[in-house]
Amino acid sequence: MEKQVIQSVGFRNTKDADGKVTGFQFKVRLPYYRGIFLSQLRPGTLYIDGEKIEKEDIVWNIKGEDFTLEEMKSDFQTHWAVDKPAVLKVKKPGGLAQGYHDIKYGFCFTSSYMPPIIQDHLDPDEESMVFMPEFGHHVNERHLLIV
Amino acid sequence: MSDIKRSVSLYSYQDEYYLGKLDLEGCLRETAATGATGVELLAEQMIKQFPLPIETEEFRNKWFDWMKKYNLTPSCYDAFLENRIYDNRTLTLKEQVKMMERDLRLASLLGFPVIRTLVSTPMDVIEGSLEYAEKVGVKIGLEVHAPFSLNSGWADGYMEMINRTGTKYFGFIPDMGIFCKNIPDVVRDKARRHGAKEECIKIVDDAYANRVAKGFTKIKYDLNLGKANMEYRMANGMAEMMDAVKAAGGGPADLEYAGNSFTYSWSEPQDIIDNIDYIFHTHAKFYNVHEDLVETAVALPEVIEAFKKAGYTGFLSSEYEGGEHLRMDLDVDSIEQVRRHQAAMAKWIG
Repeated sequence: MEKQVIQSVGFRNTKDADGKVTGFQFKVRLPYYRGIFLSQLRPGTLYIDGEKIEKEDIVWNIKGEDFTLEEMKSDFQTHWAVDKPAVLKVKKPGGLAQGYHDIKYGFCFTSSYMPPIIQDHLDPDEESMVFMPEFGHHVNERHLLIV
Repeated sequence: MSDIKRSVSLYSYQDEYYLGKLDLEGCLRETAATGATGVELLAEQMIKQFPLPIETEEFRNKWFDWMKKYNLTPSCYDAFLENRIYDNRTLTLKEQVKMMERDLRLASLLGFPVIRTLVSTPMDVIEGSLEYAEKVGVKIGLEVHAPFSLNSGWADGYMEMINRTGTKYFGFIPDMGIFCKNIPDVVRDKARRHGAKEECIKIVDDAYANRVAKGFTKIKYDLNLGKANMEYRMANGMAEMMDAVKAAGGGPADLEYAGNSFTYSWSEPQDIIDNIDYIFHTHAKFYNVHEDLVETAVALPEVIEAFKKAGYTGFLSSEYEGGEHLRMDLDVDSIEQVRRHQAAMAKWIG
């Protein structure tokens, strides 16, 4: 894995059983020292080359299992570990063109001991008013290649 | 000869762990290589599919085989009491006690005599878990982490509970971040890399030195931790310091450094001696130990001297927290940092 939250490995177009390109996927790591239950996650908005993709339209794959935003909200059994990136799957007929793309994606998570002032205003698409390095940045950007 | 024992919290190896350089066994091997005899585990960090494996005999056998192979003793299990797993409410008292009981049980299955809980754990949850703690023989230690401190209105609230219940299963786990004479140098260096001005850094460092010199105003006991923390910051001159930084033309890096300075605090090491009957584990937090074995923020020699004077026989568990200030721009070498910190502690323990 890389230090960056958005991983360069694993960014590619996805195909259905007939070989038709139906979208793309990329991987993110959890920028925290311990794993979290999926209900602690607060997924945000994705921008791919400036095009907005709502959080409801992104499926998270944790340890080989797909989860929608709704499913994750109440899942406090599945634990996402710090050493295994999640695969984010995005529907987009035709996928992305070959070449470089700008990915901007925000997500954050709750924690029992997070200071209330941060917890109360937690927004995956905005940085916290007080940045605490242990909880990482919410919004991460990368310029990555699809071949 | 002191009976103080040395341990390593595997929190320390977080960078090597997520980058895949060390797995759980690798962390245990590195711990043993430092000469430490204890290991502190964050199950939610290094147990895959937490907490399921701990329920299996297969994993537990492997765990105890590792303890034998590396001559390690389980020192402390770090619990988090994750009471915000629902997005619309905090867990009820009953749900939180159940979670505390889960962690006490998991800790006992892996041979830990102590669990660490956080200041965000409500007092009634602790009190409600004492009977179970006694049943499984695992003590609940409340981490005393900056801005909290021993010998404070905040700690008095817990002392009242200890005295009222007569429990032997609850006490304090001081985090050495409460014994910082200076702001860690890695935090200052990061501010410089990010463009902080020397003038602003000086304002913040002088303000910190002033708080150390005249003594920090202690935090109060309040269920509303946010309110207590803000009052604490204001009582310790945060507004004046922020104004001075802004007046000197401070930008984001300066303001971040100024804000971060309140993550550290200074308590008199005498606090350890005063409270020794209630201390059964210690987080030896550190930020940067240089090659000459000097840690620049925590007053390690004075603090260890107080533990010796008090006749402490528990673990001092290295907890490296400098990496988060390097990670974005530089490589982190937790293995070397822990090695140096253990060597420094061995030197002062004698």
